[in-house]
Amino acid sequence: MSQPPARFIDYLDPDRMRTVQIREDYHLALRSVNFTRGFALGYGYANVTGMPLAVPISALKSRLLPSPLLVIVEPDDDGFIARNPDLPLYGYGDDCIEAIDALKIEIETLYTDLLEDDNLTEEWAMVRKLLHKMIAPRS
Amino acid sequence: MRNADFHTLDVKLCCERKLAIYFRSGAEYNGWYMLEGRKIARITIPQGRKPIPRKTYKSMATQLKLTVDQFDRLLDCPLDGQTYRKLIEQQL
Repeated sequence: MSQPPARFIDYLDPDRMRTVQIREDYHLALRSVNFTRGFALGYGYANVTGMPLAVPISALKSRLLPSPLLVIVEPDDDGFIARNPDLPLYGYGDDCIEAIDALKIEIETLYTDLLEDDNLTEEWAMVRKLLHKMIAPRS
Repeated sequence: MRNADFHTLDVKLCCERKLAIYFRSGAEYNGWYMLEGRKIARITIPQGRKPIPRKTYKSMATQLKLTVDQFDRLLDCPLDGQTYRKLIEQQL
């Protein structure tokens, strides 16, 4: 699956956004030494300076996202925590990839939970509506 | 913040005993706090961490709609299930 162009926050110059084309799946991009420059710098910041890294994801574990979802990954003591500001969720992992993967699973399981029944508060009903927009229907 | 005092398993046990949260296990534990049959708060607990990383600890507190101080008290015992329910009802 080819990735759409992605934009990254440049924390050395916060007013600037880098636009990069991710040539591989982001898992490989994060692990590979053949990074696009923006990705490599972002990953470096997350490790070295403790600054958050913004990573757009275009798919969950088993579902596609019609528009990329921005995930913020930050160091959390010995590991990393991944979050999206609009969702009451987080993913924790020993590295960035594990944290993002954990968040992906969280988003999917929350969506499944919210579809189970309608015994929801207004707040959760809104989250369900939001997820409904974010997640592509199964083909 | 008393994240260093607790293992993630302590959080899980506390949520089960005090808040009657039933957890589904997967890569992480997920469970809902239910109030009068409605889903109110959903907590995610990573498996096997001590000390609990600070941002993760704060995220768990936020998921339960608690401040870190209230979450500390929940785990430390003084905040019981009834008090938690009152705090939640005030927010609804």
